[in-house]
Amino acid sequence: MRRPLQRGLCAALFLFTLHSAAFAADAPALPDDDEAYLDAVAQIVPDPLEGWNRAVFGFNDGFNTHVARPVAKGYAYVMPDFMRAGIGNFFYNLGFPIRFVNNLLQGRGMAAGVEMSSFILNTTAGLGGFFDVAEHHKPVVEVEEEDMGQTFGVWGMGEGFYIVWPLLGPSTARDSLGKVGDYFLDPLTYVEPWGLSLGAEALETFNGLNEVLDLYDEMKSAAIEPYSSVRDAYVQYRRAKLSK
Amino acid sequence: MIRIAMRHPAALCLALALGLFAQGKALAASSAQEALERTVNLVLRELEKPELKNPATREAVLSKVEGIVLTLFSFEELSRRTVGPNWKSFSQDQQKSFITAFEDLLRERYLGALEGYNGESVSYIKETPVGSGGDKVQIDSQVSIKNKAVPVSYRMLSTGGRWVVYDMIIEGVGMVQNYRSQFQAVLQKGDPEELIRLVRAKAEETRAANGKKARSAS
Repeated sequence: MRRPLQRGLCAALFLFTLHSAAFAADAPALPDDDEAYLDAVAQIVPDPLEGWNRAVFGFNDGFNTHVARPVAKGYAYVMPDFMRAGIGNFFYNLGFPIRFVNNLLQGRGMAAGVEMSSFILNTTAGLGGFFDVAEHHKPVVEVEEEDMGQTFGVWGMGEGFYIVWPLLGPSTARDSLGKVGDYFLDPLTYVEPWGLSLGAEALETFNGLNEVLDLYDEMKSAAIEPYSSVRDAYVQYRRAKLSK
Repeated sequence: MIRIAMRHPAALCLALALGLFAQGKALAASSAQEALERTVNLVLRELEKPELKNPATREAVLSKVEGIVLTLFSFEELSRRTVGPNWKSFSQDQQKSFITAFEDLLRERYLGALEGYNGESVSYIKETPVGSGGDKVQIDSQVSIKNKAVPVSYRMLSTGGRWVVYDMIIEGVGMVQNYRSQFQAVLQKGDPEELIRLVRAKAEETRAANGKKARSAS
């Protein structure tokens, strides 16, 4: 189904292999994790809106189960797999400006170049992005899916507090601001008339919905306290992304 | 969002379980990595047997795998770390009950995923010391599932002359840290007994769900 990411990971794997063979002895130690469990545990992120957040989390949970899941199931039922993959590729390709601009803003010129070449290749040879032909070409550098939340992080902005948005789910103050920025970089924003723009965004959402919900259900079914689990996983995941 | 996992959510769970199976070559293998690999190779040998695909013999293969995998984890260490500073306020009996319940939960969650094993492979990437004590390391690996590479890291600790896993980090999300945040929330409102009860209930619930999956698969 995708994408530069795997190609990047393959390349990274190869490079890491060479690197770690050469520098294994010099690798700096990771911070010790003993203190975290011996001393008082600090919450991973400030959550001043916890009351509101928990209410929205509960609303989203009900929405996922009773509305989103049936819709996603229906969509997956009528849409053949190869079409879903193609539509997924199409929207991913269309989101190129977000990744490209954020790579540039973070000073990742090489990664921006990889994004650009994938975009050109997929838009032409991949018939408007429906096929991910660039997947089979080895990139020069590892590319991560960059967004403006990460760009703000690279620039030194802190996460701020945790917030759960209705329908959109977990975020932080910084990532929410980033989403606003990405909205303006998203070509779908500029589609006219607005009804078409909205329809396209809805299609993009439905297309990937089953997978998102599967992940959510997996997390929820493993959790003893789902709200804390999701909050923690979101922040850990975003931090790991930022540190790459 | 979590793109790889999002597209293959089952992959996430499988990655956790499969993180143990390596086909890649170890680089500068330390004794920690050797311990990991030794266990991994034993498990792989079991999982590649055709008996895994046969409903009549699957249980036997899985319980053998379980026996092998469990030797690599220290559930006491996992329990202490996930409960955190509250561990000291648990009585000895409560600590014992908790370790048993938590082991049960982790076993149901991750070993349940092994039934979906389908030739996935793992490569080791590197090993990094953790802290300055020389008794802890992190081993980074990558699990390939349906051509997607999922990063999985293990934290291992040397105790009583052997290396044991005390944490796993998948796609940047640490397991101990994630459970700790949940246990914190429970312990802020309830007592240790309440936490033990919830962990037991979750293990039971997971067992029931796994059983349902196994029945519908066969």
